Amino acid sequence: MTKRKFTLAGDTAFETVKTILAIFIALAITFCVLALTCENPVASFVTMLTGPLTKLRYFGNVLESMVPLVFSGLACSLLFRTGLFNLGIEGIYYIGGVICSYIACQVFGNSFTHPLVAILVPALIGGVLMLIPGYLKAKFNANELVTSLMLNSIYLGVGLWFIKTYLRATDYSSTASPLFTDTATLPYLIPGTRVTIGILLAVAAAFLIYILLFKTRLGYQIRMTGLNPSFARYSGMNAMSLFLLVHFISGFLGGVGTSVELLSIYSRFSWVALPGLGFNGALMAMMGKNNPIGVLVVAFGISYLQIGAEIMSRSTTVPVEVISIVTATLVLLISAQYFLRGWREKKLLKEGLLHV
Amino acid sequence: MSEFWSVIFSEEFLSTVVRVLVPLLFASMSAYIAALAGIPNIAVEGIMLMSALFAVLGSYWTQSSWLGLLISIGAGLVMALILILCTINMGTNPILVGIALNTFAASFTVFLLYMFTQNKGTSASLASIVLPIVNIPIIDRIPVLRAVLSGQYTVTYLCIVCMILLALLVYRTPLGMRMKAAGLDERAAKTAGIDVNHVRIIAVLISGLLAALGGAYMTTGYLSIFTKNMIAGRGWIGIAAQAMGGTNMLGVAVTTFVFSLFQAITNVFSLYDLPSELINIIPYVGVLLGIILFSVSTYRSGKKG
Amino acid sequence: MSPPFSKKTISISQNHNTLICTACSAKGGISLENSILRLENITKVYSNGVVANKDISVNFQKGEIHSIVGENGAGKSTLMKILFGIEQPSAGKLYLRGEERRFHNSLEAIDAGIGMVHQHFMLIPSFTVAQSIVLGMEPRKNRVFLNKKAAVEQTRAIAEQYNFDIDVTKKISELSVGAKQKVEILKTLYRNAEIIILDEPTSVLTPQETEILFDELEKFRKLGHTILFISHKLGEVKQISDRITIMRNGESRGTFNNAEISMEELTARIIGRELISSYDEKKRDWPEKTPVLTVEGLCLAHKGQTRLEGISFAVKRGEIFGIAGVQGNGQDELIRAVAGLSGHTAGAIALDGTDISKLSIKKRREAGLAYVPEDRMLDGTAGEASLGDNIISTYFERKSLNGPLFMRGRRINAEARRLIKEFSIKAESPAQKIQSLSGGNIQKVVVAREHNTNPKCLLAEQPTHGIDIGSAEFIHLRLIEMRNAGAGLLLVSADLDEVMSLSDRLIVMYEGRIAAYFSGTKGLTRSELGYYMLGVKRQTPEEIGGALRD
Repeated sequence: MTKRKFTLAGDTAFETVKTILAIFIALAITFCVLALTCENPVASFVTMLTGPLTKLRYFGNVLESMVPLVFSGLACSLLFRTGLFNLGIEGIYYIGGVICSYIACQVFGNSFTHPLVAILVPALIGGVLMLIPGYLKAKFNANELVTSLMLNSIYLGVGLWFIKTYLRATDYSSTASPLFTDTATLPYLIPGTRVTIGILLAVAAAFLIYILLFKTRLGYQIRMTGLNPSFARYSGMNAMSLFLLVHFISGFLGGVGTSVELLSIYSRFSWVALPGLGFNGALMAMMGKNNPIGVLVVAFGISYLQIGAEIMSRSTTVPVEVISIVTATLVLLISAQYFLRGWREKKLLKEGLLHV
Repeated sequence: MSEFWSVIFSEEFLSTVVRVLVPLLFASMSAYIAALAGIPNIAVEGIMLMSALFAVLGSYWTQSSWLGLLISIGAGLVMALILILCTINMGTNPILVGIALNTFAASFTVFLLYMFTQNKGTSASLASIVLPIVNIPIIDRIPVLRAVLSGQYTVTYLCIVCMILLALLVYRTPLGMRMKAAGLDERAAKTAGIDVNHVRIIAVLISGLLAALGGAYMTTGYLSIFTKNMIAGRGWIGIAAQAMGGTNMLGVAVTTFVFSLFQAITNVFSLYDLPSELINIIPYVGVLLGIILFSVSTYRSGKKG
Repeated sequence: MSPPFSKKTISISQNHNTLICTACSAKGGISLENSILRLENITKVYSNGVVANKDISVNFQKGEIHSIVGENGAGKSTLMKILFGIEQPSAGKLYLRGEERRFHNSLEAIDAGIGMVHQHFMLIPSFTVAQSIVLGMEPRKNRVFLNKKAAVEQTRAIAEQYNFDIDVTKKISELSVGAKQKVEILKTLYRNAEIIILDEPTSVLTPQETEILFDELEKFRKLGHTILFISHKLGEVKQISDRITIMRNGESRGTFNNAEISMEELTARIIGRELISSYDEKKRDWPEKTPVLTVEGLCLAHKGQTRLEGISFAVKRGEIFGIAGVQGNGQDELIRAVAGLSGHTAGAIALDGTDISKLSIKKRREAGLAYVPEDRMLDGTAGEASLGDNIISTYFERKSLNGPLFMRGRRINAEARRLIKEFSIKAESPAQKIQSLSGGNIQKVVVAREHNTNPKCLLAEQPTHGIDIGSAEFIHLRLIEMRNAGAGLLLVSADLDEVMSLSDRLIVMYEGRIAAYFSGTKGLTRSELGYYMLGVKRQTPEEIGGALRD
């Protein structure tokens, strides 16, 4: 056999071309939808793409809305890395939010310790709750997709009951908690926006998870187990304990994410349905290819488009949900194995023939 | 308590069971046929949601409930085609496609709802037409049986027809046998000369059709309007039933029936002065416990064997 | 295939070519008339560059049993896959009944009257025999429905026609291995196969079942079927064949009438050249030859089938202990049991005097065991991970590579670079994905990693399987170096050259047992080993006991 090698540069170039083409196709489809649904598609499209840059407040909105996506995206990417399709972060966001709100409504500590406790307690509880589907999967091979989704609905019911029974605001028309105590809420970082320390925490979390994955022994084991479980086993790694640890970290991130979101944007807890942030996290993870920095970039990009669409929706009849078309197209194209594969294989074969 | 039992043993309760069973049965059979051929379809929830909306929109556009039903089925088939395109042609993991399709459906239905009603919550402002309630003569005079077989929504009867056809397909036709082979051992099926992709495409299309009917049921009878996220996990309960029943259609159906009993009991409880939020989780707790028991027993028997 | 063949080899292969010609001309005129299937210059290059078949021309006659023999990896299976439409040839032509054909999938081959019985059965356990047989060609009722009654009747009729004693209403999962094979054969007959390919059909059968199979094959021949019998068990091949085609290294080494070729000659041609390279002058003696790995009475039964029985041997410090044998005779199970990847039913495994049979994989590694696995892509590496990540997986917790909190990327890189250099691995950087390297370089990464843990005992399973000659030689030298430094090496190889040139002592495994033990390789011939490997001969328990005693 003659020696041959396929260059790394080809790999990266291929992924880049693939991603750019996916973005292009997604935007093109969106444009077509706009052309069908609104009177001035070109202007609307431009507004959607440039809107967030026109005002500081808008750009602030982008940063605000990316925070919960980063946390849930990181949580999901860790789970996906171990080859698990667990969507339990959605439920953690809800129940964690309820716990956070309960603490935030108490009079307690100062403006440092109060939010600290209001973030850490839901995070720890979130971590422990995630162990349930994790353990059931690891030990009994219970379908984690189903168990995590059932748990989501259960957490929603229990959380809603708790809010109605123990934390219902008497001065408010619909179901919601009382106003959070002042000490609990996070202060705004940029005047004129609702950007809080949350964005810094989100960026820090992304980098921490990056460091965890790529610089620590634990992360090394997580990566190897995710890439090839039998190789990890052969090398002597213990899958079960890794598995549970990953679930705990993921739930912890979920708890932090929901708490930071509530203490930054909300003045009281008013979710009466699952917020959808956890499910979106799964999409962030897929688009970011389970890389923490990728998740950060994708969360920014999607939030940017989301705010752009919101600005656009004010001047047109097109609602902000139009963004779901972009996201779905991107997710499906980016995670497609064979998308552009023909092109790539031809290239590889050519390279291969040169070496024969 | 005696009052509770008298409700449980009433004809109305039986009728309620049938009403909650139909969409769950569509969901679990949709998951069943796709998984049978080897492509897990976890987009059932999303397909049901889309079809539920399109049943309303369709009947509003055409002013015909039957054409509305056809349009709703069309929407379900389009979703199924996306699943086919992504998994069979582009090699994407079917679970990922399913997650993407579900989240897409959740917000895209709101998008469409708003485009046509300027409302993001319900379609109440649209004059859509529901399918008729069917009373069957003679049967409607037989006690007990009349609660089950008469006075139900049109799609309920379609459900009965679909289940019979599906059972025939799976257990009585070459295609059904090939689906099973494709799902159980792709290589064995291929070496027997079966075009596995062809078989799978048909299975996923049938899956899309069943999920679409389940979605249409929700807005052409059960309710007459579309509301945001109205499927509320029914698709997932169907997937749970499939996970427990495996390749045995009767097993899937029985599991679904048990789940719908939970759901119907929930409805009975809601008559009492109990916290409704906690009552509402009964079906999910039931499914969760079911899955846990099933997995533990499979694990135990696997260990012995 | 690669250029660095020695001159000697080339002259031998030319020699073979002339032999092929004589064989062909001997058959001459008759062959073309009677020919049912003819291959002309078939070449198959896989997309990863592996040349599996090279310029193969064979003529299969109607109504003959034609064996195709060769070692593992000789290209037999690929050739059969081409015949059955599972793979497409890169070049060459295929004539069926004189007509040029090309099969794009199995369905086309089946339609053309070709049936195949795969080595690993293509049967679904929950199906009945009748269902399995008719699958894909089901009898129908009213055009739409499956005619279950006809399916049972037709399969029963065909079983009776060929005198197969089988209950067609039974489920596949209830059948014995021999009965499953009957179902596979019935599948081809149901599809009116004129040509039946059997891929290693006897590898899973008991001797009695094998006899029954051979009777059946005889019957098929009389009925005019053509049988292509793929095997590496020479006794069986000699017993049943009309003609024999020999394959080696993806090439045909001639087709012979069974009557015109002796067992010895057949063995010689399969094995190829006699031993040319020897590593004797590289070997240095280690002073204390004490046992480092002892395996005693190891047994393994899986689903009622015996996989390993009474395996006992001891590997000493400073020696390479070889296990020869055709793949699938229990070597894999043995090595996995020693490495801790899978269990065993009975017996003891001791490393350096302490029992390790209950320890985890990690603990065994810590005790001084290292392992080069057979499948470098499945167990040996994570293809998507970088070279650097792959080269430390078995010692990533080592102090020198770690700080108090973090792994030290620079040290890891430096270590990887050092190993890349030391093992002359052709790679651009430690960050390169390992799957972008060639097979030989990936294998060097695995060997470098295991070497780097400085083990007391190394399990090396097919360490040079499917890699280029340069890398193979390099790896051999490193293994000898480890031996010279006092490590005990357990070498499993289906490649006779390898196992004979490297081993100090060796055993031959056949059907889960030790068939022979040799206290040295001096004077040992390949054909002698071949007899034990192919199940022709077997030593006495007393002789075999030497593996543990010596």
